[in-house]
Amino acid sequence: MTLANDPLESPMPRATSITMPLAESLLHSNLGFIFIFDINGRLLRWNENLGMLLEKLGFKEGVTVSSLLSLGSSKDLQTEIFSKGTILIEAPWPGGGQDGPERIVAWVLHHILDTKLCIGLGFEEPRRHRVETKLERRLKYQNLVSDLSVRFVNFTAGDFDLEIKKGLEQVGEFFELERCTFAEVHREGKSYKALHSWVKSPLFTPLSQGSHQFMPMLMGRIKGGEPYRFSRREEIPGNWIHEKRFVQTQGIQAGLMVPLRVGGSFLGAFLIDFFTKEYEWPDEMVKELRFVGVIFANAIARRRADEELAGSEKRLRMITNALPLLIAYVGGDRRYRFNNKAYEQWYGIPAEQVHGKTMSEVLGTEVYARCKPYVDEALSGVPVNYRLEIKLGPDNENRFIEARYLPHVSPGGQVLGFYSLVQDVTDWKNVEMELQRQRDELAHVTRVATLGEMSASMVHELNQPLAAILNNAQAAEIFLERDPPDLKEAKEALKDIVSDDLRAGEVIRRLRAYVVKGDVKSEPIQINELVNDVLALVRNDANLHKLKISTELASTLPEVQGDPVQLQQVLINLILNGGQAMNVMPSKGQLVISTSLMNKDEIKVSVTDSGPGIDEEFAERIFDAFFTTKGEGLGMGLSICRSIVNAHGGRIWMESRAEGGSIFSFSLPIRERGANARR
Amino acid sequence: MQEDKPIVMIVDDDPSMRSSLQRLLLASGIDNITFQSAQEFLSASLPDCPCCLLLDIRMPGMDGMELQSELVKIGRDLPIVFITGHGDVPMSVQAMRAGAVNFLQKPFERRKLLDAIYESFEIDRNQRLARTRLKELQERASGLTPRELEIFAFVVSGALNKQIAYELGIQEGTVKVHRRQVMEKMKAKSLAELVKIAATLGVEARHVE
Repeated sequence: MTLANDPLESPMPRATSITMPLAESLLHSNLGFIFIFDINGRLLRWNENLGMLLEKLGFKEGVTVSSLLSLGSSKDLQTEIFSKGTILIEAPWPGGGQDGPERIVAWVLHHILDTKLCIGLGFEEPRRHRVETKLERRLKYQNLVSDLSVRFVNFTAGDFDLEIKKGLEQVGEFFELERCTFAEVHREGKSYKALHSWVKSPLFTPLSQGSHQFMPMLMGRIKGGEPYRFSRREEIPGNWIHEKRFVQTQGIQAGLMVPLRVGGSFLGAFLIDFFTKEYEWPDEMVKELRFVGVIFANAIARRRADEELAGSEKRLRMITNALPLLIAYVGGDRRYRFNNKAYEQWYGIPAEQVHGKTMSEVLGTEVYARCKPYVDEALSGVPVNYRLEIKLGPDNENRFIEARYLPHVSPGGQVLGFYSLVQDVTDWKNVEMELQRQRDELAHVTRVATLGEMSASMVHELNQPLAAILNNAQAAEIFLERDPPDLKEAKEALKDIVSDDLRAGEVIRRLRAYVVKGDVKSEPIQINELVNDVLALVRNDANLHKLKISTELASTLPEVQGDPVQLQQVLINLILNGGQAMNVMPSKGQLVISTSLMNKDEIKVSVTDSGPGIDEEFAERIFDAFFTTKGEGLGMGLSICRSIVNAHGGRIWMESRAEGGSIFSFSLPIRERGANARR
Repeated sequence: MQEDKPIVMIVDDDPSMRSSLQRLLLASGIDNITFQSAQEFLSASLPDCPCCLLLDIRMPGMDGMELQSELVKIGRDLPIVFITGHGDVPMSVQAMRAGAVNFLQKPFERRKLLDAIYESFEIDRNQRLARTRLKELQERASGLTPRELEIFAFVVSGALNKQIAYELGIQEGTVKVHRRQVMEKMKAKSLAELVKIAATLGVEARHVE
């Protein structure tokens, strides 16, 4: 018998002439399956190998070639044999390939010379068969892998169960398993639960969903990544008590557990069981199952990440919804990409409908027009804070909002959008306004009080022009009474009267402006001009008190923003304080008022005296209300100074000079060009 | 004695006050000079005629009161009319103690101003007269010999010649001669007049034991 050694090189065995004696002797050999059959295809005699097979398969007497070779009819076959002498047939392993799909037998059927009998020789054709089926299988396997991959790439969180189920079915069918269970593992194998269990037929029981048999040894064994398999129950180690019990109660004959790991995490396992047979798990199959397992594991990992993301987004949403702020992300196209529930209460639009709408649609064109400059700024990459008064809510109430836009800039520097935080500060604003009102009230009261301190100087200021006017008027009278009237001199006198009257008017105007309780203004102020105005108010008083006041004013200073009268008040207070400090000194000193640029954002105004200085222990409390070291006075002066300066966004402080005396300074923020009032 | 035209010297730091005062005084026929500070006034040489000072009590630098005390210090006895503002009462009292003549509280009427000025002129005129007389008496007294001065001091105490002679250990007749010399040199017509002169000159009377 010379069947091809290499089936790929010579697919057809060479026909030889077999005589009856040769046939007889062949029957005694145990090479492959050998049998003799008659013209009807009925098997007459066979060798031992075939005998064992027939017995195993349960073939009775009268077995025919067609049944052995799984052929339809033997009639054509006989004709062919007798006409050709020899034919070759490939057929599955007798009995329907139950011993494995790979096994194929090549049968040579030969006419025995000078007889009406034929001899059949069957050899398993492993090599040729394997290469071909392997190629086919590989293809199928690759299809399976790509199928599963596609399945798990596209699933959404809701489809997860269904996709796993379908994927498991594909695996079970492909590998011709009896039961294949997909279990999700938690806490690195400390617990697991069956998600899905596929069974080949209803005869087998799927592992119930959610079941989690206690299998510590098995899990410990596979958590490192290596599968565990047993071909028969006896192979299970004796100390695997729980596992053994499980296998017994389930009626499992052979088992394979493939751990599914992703990125170093033990996420799940395939539990594969055979109930009807013991099974030698082919290495190839284990390898392939492990690979398929990776796809499944990735699906779990993805679902977990999705869940986590959904969870964290849900948490974020819950938090943002609970906050009484408008929180949103606005894209570069000025459409809302994220928004919290507060939008619903503010704008009466269901929160989920805000998403995708433009700012102008949500805010209304009127409000949007007012926000737009800030939106433009944010989208140019600059963080913006602003306050606005808008009408809001069902009652169209006037509300103050405070908004903050934070640009979202890509690593490449492109502005993708901005985060928007908007707060209704009406209530705060009201409190603030009430505080402001009280502060202004107090400022006014203390201003009037300061005026008392300066009254002598004030009266002098007014008396001066009044006295000059009276003098000139009386002189004019005389000039006019002369004969002839001295009109020239009278006119001169009248001219002076006019200018003195104007001067008196100016004094009164200045006083009035200082004392009048008007609206607090917010206007651009040149601090040096303010200093000079103040000097005009206090100079006479200073003269009276023998106080020399000099100035050191920085030549060019940017403007500040605020209420000139209140800032004058601060300066007057500091000057009067300094003057009083020096009043107690035997040799009266000099008060220096200086202005300077403190840094790029602030200017500084200082009043330096050469008085006795202030005790360290008082330095902290000096700006507190009702704190005074003077016998007279309310102790409100410096306190009101502080609140005025603070309201202007600056601060006030005191330093002691080494050579004696103190420096009182306050800072004011430089007015931003085109900026609105800070107050 | 020759009587010059009186002059008002105005010291005020406020230009409009200064010029209006100047105008009013000129209109009223009163000569005046203006100074814008106490220092300027002190450094100026002043005319030898009856005058008064119209002085603003409040000024930067040296103020009116400081100028007043400075004048006292250097022996310039000048009637001062202070121009005061409202609320300068405590200072006014102090100034009055230091010899101020009058106060005008701003704003003031011309009549009051002129009254104050004329009063001051009168005072100054009298002071000038007194000064002139004192100077004359001092000149007369300077003609006395030491012995005559001694006799002068005894005489104005009302001592008799006999007592003086005894006190000095000289003849009564000699005392009589000296006494006549004193009366002649001092141009005193009576003892009463001589006593007055002694008081003016500050000659201290010597009493016999």
